[in-house]
Amino acid sequence: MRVRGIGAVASGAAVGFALGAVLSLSLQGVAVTPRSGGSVSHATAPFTVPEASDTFLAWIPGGFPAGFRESLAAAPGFEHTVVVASDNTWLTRSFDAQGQTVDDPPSGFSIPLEVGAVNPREFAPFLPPADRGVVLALAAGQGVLGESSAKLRGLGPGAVLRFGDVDVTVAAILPDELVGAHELFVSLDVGRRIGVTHDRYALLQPQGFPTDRQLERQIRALLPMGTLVRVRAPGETPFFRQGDAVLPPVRLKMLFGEFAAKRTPGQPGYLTLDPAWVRTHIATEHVPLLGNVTCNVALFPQIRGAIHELIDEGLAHTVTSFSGCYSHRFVNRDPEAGISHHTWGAALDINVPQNPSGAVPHQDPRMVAVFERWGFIWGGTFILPDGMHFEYRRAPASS
Amino acid sequence: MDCSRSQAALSERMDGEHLSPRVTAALDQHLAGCSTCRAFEQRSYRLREQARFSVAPAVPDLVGPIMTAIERESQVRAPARTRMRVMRSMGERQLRRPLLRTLAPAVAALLVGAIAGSLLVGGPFPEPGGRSAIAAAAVTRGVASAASKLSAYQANFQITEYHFSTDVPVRELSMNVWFEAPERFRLDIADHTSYPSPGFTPTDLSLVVNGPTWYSSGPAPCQFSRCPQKQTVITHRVPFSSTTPAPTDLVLPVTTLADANQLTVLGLGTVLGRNAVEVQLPFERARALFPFLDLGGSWRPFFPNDRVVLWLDASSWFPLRWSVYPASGLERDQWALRFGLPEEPSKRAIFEVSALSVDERVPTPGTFTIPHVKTATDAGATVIDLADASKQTGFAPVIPGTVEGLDLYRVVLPPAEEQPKADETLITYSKGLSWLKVGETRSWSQDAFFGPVGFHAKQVPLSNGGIAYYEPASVDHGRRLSIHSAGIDLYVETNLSRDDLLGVAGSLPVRGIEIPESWRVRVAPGGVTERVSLAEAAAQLPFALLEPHHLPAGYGLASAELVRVQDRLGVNVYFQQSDADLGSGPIRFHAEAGQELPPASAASQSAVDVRGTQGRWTPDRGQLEWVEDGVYYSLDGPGLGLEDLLAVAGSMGPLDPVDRGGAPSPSAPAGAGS
Repeated sequence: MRVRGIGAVASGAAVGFALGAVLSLSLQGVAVTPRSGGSVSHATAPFTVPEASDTFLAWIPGGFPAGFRESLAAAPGFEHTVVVASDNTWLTRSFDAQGQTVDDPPSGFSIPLEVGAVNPREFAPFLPPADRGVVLALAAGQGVLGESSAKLRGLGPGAVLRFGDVDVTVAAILPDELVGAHELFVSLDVGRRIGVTHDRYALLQPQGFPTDRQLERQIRALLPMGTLVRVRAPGETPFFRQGDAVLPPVRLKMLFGEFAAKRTPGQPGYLTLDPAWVRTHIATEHVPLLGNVTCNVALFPQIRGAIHELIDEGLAHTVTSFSGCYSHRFVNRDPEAGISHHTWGAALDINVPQNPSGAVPHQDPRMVAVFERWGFIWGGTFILPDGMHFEYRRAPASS
Repeated sequence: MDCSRSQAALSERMDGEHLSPRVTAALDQHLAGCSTCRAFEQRSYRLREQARFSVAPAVPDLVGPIMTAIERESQVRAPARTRMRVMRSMGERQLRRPLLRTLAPAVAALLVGAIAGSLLVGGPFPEPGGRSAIAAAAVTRGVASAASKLSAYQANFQITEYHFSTDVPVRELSMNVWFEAPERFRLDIADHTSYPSPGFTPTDLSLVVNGPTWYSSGPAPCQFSRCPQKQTVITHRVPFSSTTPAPTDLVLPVTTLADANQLTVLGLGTVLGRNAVEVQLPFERARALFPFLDLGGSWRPFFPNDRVVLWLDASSWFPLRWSVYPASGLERDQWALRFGLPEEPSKRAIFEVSALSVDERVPTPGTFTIPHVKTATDAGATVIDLADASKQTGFAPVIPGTVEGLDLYRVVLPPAEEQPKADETLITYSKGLSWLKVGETRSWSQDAFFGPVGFHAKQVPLSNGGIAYYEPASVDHGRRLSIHSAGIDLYVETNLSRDDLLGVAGSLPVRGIEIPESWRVRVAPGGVTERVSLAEAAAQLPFALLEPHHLPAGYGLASAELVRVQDRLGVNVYFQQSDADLGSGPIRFHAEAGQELPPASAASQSAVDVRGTQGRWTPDRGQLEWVEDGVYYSLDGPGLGLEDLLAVAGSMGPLDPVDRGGAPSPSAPAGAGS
């Protein structure tokens, strides 16, 4: 810039500086509203007092026995109850509201989708009044997407989910907490047509103010002797549904990817996954103490973090055997159960001989603490203990 | 941890002390089960906010004159705009300027000096709704006007991201963007970060849009340090598809700055030697400026109300620099704890994007070439000549009388996989970055609006005497409306202004009529929903219906529906924004007869005073509930906080005469209801 230009700029800046300051000072004393980005703003935050919830969850491993639904409906001591059926179903195709194909799995494969089913009339009291209109859509044969599911699929109201020869039109999207983090919620009738038949959990609004233990006794009285029951209040568990200790399938999909799959012929408890998904998401790498580990590629940093901490803390001896991570199958190899989280390569089985499923676990608590610090939940805390099992639950505490 | 230790730790945390992970975990565990300490925490925050708050001194409103100067300068420059290059401020060559603007530097320096002087004694804090609103409108108009004039663009940016993880406190990336009208776009991101181990996946991304083909490659969207790779090719996409978008807000923030109500003009300055306008808006509304976050890889999280400060070139309106600053307050602090983020002072940027060079040269041949891949997904759109449309569909599509100067781009038959014959047409128009789509069918059989228009859309009058049902721009869609008529259903979608959209729709040779009763009334086992006007709702409800007389800026009445479920009759009233619903959906107001709040059912909720009675605030749902004179009310709006909703609740009063069905007042929103 030429000297004359620099002088003009400098003079302009100086004059402007003085003018701005003088004008500002001359008008000081008049309040202005702080910047609020277009929203209403107040000087003080409203005072709030935390409130307890009045709604409870009850579930048992493997689902409620036949007749429980009727027994609960007739049981005294409840204002409202609803039993939720839940199963894995197979999505063969989906379309957005404009009819464009969104999900189109490879030929011969389908996408596993966790679907919940309810009696709409019984479900209504468990929805905020402003949302109760959706039970009419459920009663009319339409479906409701959970918020995470809608985001995962990029679908909204008007979309169509196809399950073989059954089409379900999406009527609305509800927060995950209102649909038990299911991917899709439908009526019992629609659920039966697409394979949702097992009653997995119940929502309860009791009369009065019973404790968790009192409620547990009430539910246990409706079940065969010795049945394990878990009763939870909101806030005690992030996912108000069956198997509340672990991530629901929709969250696993968001974290570790969604695959298409099919039942493996001749092996009822196993799945064959889309090879393209397996190629990009599953890897085999060497990990100290464990040896060759086949897992989801995203999980290796946390596995290595936990193992290195065990070594650094002198706890290497607490790992005596490793039995695997990725395994494409249903829970307990039962084709009626949900898809095992091992299928995503998101869980490890360690020290299996000393910790068979269902038995009293025998893991070193210091080893368990290290894995928990690295974001894994230990199966030894499950209602039906699974002491060998360490599963991804959250990001490491230190990150 | 007992209450005494807990409250001491809370105080330390509020004072900015860094608590160990063990203490943090113990504190959070204690707080989860102790209402006394949660109340202590909230009281303490309230006191801290009160102590921190002070009234800012008034300053002269310089924004109006500034914007006038900007507009004048833009008008002078526009015809002469050729090639522009934004350089780094220091040590690089200055831009050449026409002689006619010899005095421009001095004038600019005067204005910048005035701002600096003003800032020294308190800062130019604009008054919402005052002259700053005029300045915001000028920015919105300027960006929209520039969109249709831009034919080509290329730019380089530097990205700096803070607090990616404890191992990686800072990441450095570069971003290259190319655009050529009407629908060629490319975005490359290269990650230059030195990671502590090879276990980290670099966030190297590529997106190429070349008319009907869309390609992306790089790590899949991921919440871990290591992410699987993903490569996607979509062929035969619908023009300006929302499912395979070209994120052109990086070129010109047409969507981000669509609504003048939702941005604040902070002032003028220079960025990289260019005159630039500084605007501010919440992160959730500026998300279109960060398309790479959804494209793939792993990124740090952002709170919806984090502030985005954006510098725009005052002449071309290109975004030159944008930074994210943390919001302040308890809610943000709690959110940050969940992500394990360190303390983030609200005045320190946590994410910065800075232009290194920007120009309007046509990208070189080959820039938009789609890499060869083995498998591609066919989206199914078929390009046809407009003249052949009637042969393909059996009808001659209607043509708008005006398309606001846009040119015919492509005519396609949208995918209709299971139809024996195509029964829809989509005619698209474009110019620069501006686009317009007109969809039509003659065989619509669903009980819902044709096109991407929801059930709660606002009924609006058109200049041809007909009516349409309108929704504002969203993250996924442009502004759009649906028109229903006997035997013809249409939708119009665009990134042009609302007025332009209404003008195009009004020029169609189709007179829209009200939706049929089968769409309006939905009967199902156990109840019925019915779309009604507010007056009709008031007439049917067994109590006097109230309505809010204050809404956050930009909101207006959209529609209402009566809902009868198991013999309980209630009303849902929807308020939507007029131009853009970015980051927040409509506000929903519900009322039904009731003597008490329904059972609490969320993991976390609090009692709060609402209109002199004890109500309930459920933060995860953004929902405020209360009971007043035998009526249960609720208000919810994604993206709105408790204070916003309390202000709306506090303004509740009897229906305006126009909403009761009386004569409309000049200021009343048109077309509400039905």
